[in-house]
Amino acid sequence: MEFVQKLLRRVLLAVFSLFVIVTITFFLMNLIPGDPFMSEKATPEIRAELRAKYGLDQPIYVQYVRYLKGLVHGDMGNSYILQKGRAIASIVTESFAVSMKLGIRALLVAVFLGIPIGCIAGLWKGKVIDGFVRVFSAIGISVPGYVIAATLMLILSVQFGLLPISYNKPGGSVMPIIVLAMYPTCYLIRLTRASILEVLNQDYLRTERSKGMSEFIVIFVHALKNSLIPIVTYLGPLTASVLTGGFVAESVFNVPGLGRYFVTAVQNRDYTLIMGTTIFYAALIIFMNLVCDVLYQIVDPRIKIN
Amino acid sequence: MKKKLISLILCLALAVTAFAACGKKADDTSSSGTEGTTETTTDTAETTEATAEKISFAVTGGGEDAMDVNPQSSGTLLGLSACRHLYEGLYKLDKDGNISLAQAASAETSDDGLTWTFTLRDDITWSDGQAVTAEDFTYGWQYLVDFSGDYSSLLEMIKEAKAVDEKTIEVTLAYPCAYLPSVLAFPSAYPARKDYVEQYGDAYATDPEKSVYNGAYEMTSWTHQESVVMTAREDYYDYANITAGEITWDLMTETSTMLASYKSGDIIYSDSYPDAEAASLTEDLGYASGYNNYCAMFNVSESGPDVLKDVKVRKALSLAIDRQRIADIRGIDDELAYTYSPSGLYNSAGEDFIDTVTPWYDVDAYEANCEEAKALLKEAGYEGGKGFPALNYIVGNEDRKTIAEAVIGDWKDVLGIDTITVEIVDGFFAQRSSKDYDIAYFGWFMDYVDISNMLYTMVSGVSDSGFSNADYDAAYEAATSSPDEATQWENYAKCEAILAEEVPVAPILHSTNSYLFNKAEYDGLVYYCGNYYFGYVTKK
Repeated sequence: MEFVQKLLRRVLLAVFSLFVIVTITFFLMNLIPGDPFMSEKATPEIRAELRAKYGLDQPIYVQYVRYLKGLVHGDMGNSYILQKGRAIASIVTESFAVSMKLGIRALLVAVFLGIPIGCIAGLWKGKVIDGFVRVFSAIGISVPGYVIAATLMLILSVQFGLLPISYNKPGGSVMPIIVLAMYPTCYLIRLTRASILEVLNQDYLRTERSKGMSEFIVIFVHALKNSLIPIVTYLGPLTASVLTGGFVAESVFNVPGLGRYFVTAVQNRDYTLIMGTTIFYAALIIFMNLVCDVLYQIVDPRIKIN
Repeated sequence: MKKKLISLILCLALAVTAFAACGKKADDTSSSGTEGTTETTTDTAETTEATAEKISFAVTGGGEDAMDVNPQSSGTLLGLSACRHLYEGLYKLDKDGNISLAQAASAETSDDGLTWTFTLRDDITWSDGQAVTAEDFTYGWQYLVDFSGDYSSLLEMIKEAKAVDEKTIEVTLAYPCAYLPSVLAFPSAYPARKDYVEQYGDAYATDPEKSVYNGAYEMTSWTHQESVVMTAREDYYDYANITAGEITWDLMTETSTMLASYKSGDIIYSDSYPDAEAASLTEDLGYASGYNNYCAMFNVSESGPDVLKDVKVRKALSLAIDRQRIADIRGIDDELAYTYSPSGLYNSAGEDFIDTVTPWYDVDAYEANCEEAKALLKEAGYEGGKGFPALNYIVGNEDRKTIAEAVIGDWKDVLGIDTITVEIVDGFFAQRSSKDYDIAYFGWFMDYVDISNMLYTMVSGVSDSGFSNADYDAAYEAATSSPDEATQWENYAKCEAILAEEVPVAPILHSTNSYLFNKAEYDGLVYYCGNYYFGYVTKK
């Protein structure tokens, strides 16, 4: 019962956070100079007409109230520029479906490669394999996604013709997945390695060993479980960010996902789309953090939700 | 350092191949799959040449944001080009890039040039089978005016347009506009189906099922952000001459992706490519007259700085620009500007307009121009740049900032003016049109090939420079209202002369358009004012 109550409180808090985010984004967005209707060919009269048509000529608080009203009724408006005339809700859901499909696979790659490799590096600390893993993960973390994407494209597509560049061709999802998974995989490797090293020095493991417990159980049941806590913390926001796609991977490989809108919507002052993507991303992060908190309790019963 | 970088990339490549192993199966099928299809296309093209089998290919011209296929709202080169495939006006671009009759079978002009009567072809239909009627055109034009898009004032020469019967349109003009065919061939002047526009409102033409098409192609699918597929319509009256059966428009935003896709053979045309690669692509690049200008615009309006109200200062600033150096910086073979209008605007005798006007200055005599500029500045009271007030020079992006900085560099070196600063501003166009600047970038890309389209931009009340000159307006009006070519050209030349005298803008360059096109294997691309048409593309 106490758990349900606390969960409810967290949900209410989440709704409040979302409201704050909507408000801040709305006003910040309107502070950027320019409007969605900037072009060489548009005359001032036409721009004024367009502003009037979309109600952008009204005072900012009127626009804000109108937007909130729409939002409460589930209406996020239509895109002004990037997909002119299409409803934001359908743009976001359609492109999120694509990003999520890629994101889940990238996440699986990151988790199933990152955690085991991190463990190995930690257990064989100072050995050749550890050195190799550390160099690899350092490169993966520090090389920007754009370079990785361009290098992959150059080698695998242009030079050897092994993989198609565009996402919509068979096999086209391989490179975006690699680009998306690269950073989180390497980050997870380092995180797991550090975490394992810390846990291995704990007294209770020495106690277990001295009691004659097998090394396998000591490491894979007790050490690993306890070293997962910082990883779970990281997995929440990671999931949210990987699922919503990456700007680089999506624009380079032509993926019709959500990721690129975070940048292009702002560049084009596509107000309704800026709001739509921000709200969606914020909601996803808040939700993932909630899920993480629940997961904590399973991993470590000492942590209570709140 | 370089070695380190290479080894780093190699390390990455190794790591990546390890990763990619899981995806190997997919690659094998994909690559053989693609090859397979290309081969079949080649085979059929070779064996059935006599029966003119249609070919399929993919192209790119930009991303989803530029793919606006509502002809009345579209304003991007990609959107307009796509519209030219899906819809058709009374006139169209033909195989040779000329304007010729399309949905209209005939056009008759009254003696005073004010009344045009168009008779539609009998064999034109929309993609849902309905006949294209005169009313579809008059409705489309009204929709354009009501829509308030970039081109809402395109048809301002039309006083009244009437659908006399199903197949006849009578157009009354405000002035005899000899270039009307060029205007009517522009996508904004295409017909629109009232029932679709009214049913879908702002969402009209945002998905294949939300529009009908009267052009050579219909849209068969639109995977948003990914690609648009167009298929040639068998009931299009000129279907027999259309050689491209299916065109896939990949929606790409990154120029490096466009180039890589072009190089790997996925696409045969790309509207853009990374500028830095131009030198290595000479085999693949096509060039076309850009029909544009690239200028530095002076704010000569009331709100502009006093120093720029002195024509001597403006002239000095214009003369001191080293246009050759700027062309070298851009490195894409621009023409150096010595008039406001670009080259390539021919009359019926085949003369180029800019050859018939007096050049503003001798563009090749830069040193002499510099001397004249210094003298003018001295006369204006700012000898050696002394006492020249601080001015800002606004631009909209990084590329234009590079050019603007080169320009102020000349002003500093030649004239000693070091008080002008360049600034990239957000909301550039809005700021320029509200005349909140001293000097600004200005560039105009013509919509159709007629001098009026370029000179219109300096008419009083239109120009962002705040330039307002009764003689200019009178000459412009005399030109556009005359049906006689000689009178038109005489007056257009007068407009140029007034601009040369007043220098509200300093023309710098006329840029050449370039694009990637697989010339080795394909032929028949039609390119016009930055718009492209693939319907007549054939395989060599």
